[in-house]
Amino acid sequence: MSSTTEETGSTRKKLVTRLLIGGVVGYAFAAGAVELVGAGLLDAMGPSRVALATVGLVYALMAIFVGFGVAAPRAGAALLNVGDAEELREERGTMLRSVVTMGGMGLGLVLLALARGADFAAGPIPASVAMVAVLALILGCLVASWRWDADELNRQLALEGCFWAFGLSWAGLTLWASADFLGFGPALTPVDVVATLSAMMLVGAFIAIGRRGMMVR
Amino acid sequence: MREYREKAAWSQGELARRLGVSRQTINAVETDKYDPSLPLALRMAGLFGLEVRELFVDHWTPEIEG
Repeated sequence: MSSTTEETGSTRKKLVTRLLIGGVVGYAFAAGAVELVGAGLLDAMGPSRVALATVGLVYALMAIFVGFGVAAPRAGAALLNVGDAEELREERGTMLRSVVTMGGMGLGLVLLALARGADFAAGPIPASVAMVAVLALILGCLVASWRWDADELNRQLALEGCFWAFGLSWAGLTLWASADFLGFGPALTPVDVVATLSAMMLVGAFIAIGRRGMMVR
Repeated sequence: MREYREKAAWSQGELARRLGVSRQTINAVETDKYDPSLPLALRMAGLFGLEVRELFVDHWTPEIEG
């Protein structure tokens, strides 16, 4: 067997292992969240709020994974897209910033999804608290972006990720809004826009990384 | 580039530190997943005492008209 074939096999094994672990932990996380919120509240939330909360939970889950990698580099190296445990130690600062950014994003989206409103009187989070959380999230992201000291590969990946995120958001939201406007599809609510943009930021990042063949190292 | 890095007995992390980039960048350049910017390519070549064209291979040849 050639070394290239061995590398491909090992890369595939790594990817499958990570997907399996991610799937199991994600399922447990989602089941825990449903248990915590309760099926009744989940029904009252409606599909738009549930979708928003799901996107928020995905961000939170990713923050937990990266946080775990920083706390336990050896085990984290098997789970995260890094060369080895040493790289996790070297990139500790960057990883911690990712934990804060993604964790903040996840928390902000979940608080928004659970906020009390005219359509969701049972919402456990006062609307004013959710509004402050969203403002803090946007301000935090602006400051983090301004101070972001990434090297050229990460800047390039961010640009490519934003390109895909914008393109997919534009296509998805335009189609959905047009269908709603013309009476062909379900109503597009304001939180659907937030959920779509937030989800597409993640999808765009994965596409940019995947297209460069950097999904698994 | 891997060949020259290994000749210098530097790890990817060591080279990354010397060039002021992440280890991920060095790995991506070595595995042909990312073409470095001209300033970074110049710094890489300079670090190994080489010309850029000695460090990076480009198979492109200009088409001759006429």
